Amino acid sequence: MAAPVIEMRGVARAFAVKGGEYVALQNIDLDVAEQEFVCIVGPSGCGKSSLLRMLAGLDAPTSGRLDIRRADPRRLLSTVVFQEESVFPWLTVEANAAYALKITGLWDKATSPARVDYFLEKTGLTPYRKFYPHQLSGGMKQRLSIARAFTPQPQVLLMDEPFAALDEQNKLLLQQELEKLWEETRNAVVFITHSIDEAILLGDRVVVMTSAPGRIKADIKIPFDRPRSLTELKATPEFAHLYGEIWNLLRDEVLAARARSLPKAS
Amino acid sequence: MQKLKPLVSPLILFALWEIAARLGWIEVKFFPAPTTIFARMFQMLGTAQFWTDLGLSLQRAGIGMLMGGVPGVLVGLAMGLFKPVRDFLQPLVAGLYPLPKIAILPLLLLIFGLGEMSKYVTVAIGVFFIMVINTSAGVLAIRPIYFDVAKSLHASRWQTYATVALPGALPGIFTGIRLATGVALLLLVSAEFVGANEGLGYRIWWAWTVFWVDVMYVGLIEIAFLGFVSAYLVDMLERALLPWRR
Repeated sequence: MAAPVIEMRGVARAFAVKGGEYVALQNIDLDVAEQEFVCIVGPSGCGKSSLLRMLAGLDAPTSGRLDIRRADPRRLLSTVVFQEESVFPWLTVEANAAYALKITGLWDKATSPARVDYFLEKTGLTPYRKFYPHQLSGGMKQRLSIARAFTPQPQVLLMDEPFAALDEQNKLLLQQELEKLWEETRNAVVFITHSIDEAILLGDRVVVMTSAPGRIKADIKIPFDRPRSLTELKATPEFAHLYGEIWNLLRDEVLAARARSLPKAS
Repeated sequence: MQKLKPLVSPLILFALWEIAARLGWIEVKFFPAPTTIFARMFQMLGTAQFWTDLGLSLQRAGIGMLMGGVPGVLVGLAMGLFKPVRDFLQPLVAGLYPLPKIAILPLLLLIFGLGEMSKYVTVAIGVFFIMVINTSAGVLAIRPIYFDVAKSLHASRWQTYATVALPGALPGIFTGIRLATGVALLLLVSAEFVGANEGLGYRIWWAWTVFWVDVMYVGLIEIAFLGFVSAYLVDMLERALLPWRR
């Protein structure tokens, strides 16, 4: 296997809290290869988002080593699709989609407009390119956020539960659209999610994390061929088997997280 | 038809006022009939004095607003963006803002004399605080996720200010401008009452001393008109600069 794009060794992240420190992540070893889609699932509060913020360069690890290899120095290291609505309300749809290229100085008059057009088309936003975000639905805004992240074609795409705030039908559509879009670009992806369905549909690997402090509990290969369709996958016994395996791993952690949070709630 | 709707209530008021004045229900010494006031106004429109008063007041309000507004926005941005600046200046702003600016007019007259500068500064001080407060509130209201987006793309400080902080603070800045135009007129007229020989405030005050009540009303109409026009211009500017606001 070629050298991984992302290499994490013994990464930990702790926060100072009253009377000591809270360890969110501990001893994380994780490699992500070129063209690999890695989904990370774990109970709430297991530090998934902390992990992603470190990969995005928004926070630094407390200890350990985190490398993102850049094959091409002209290429952007990473872009993020956030769970929260994060498209700029003061920019039009097309200006939002172009923002990452413009701000990083990668804008090229000859090729960039076509690139923006391409991803607007792929996310179904071409008819709305002159609109402002307040004129779009929640699902469209999240598609725009995805277009903004894909447009610069970064080394690594980071996604933090991008569909969590959407309704069930929109979520299904967007998962499927993302799967199709990714097959064309094949960027390395780290995708945080709560949904086991989503992780199996999208991932080449599903990494299961423990409850806080978050560690890696299991790393499961998803063997399905692409293109994938959730409805077809769900009908197969292999899907049911994988779902069961991941859920069994997760259940103990969710219960552990719940037990820990009980005294606080009372 | 729809466009004329805002004119209905003022027209009814004027009509009732006119009737009341003509039938002697109200004291025309204090409340001259609208027709009398407008007749006086048309007469005054032909005089150089009318235009000098209006022009001077406009100039004072405009220069004063710029003198207070530009530094106000800059200080407000700095307070919104940097916590140490905010912590340092917040007590000063909180302490000085509620002070009626008119109370320092005598001091300003002492420092700057009766010339134009004392009027500029009076207006500027009032406008400054309003712009500081609304601009910093505008920056603080920006959702942190927008800064995260810029940071995740390794945007430089200035890129972040230009593409996130400034556009994000614009709604707050416009709220400030709207409030500041009203305050600017208030302070200007007050300053002109006591420390000027020309201008709308001076003209109203002078009309009182010689008991030309209809001239006073003409002055009031001019000020109301200025307020109306400036609100309209601010709206236009906001629509042009903030097309992304509903």
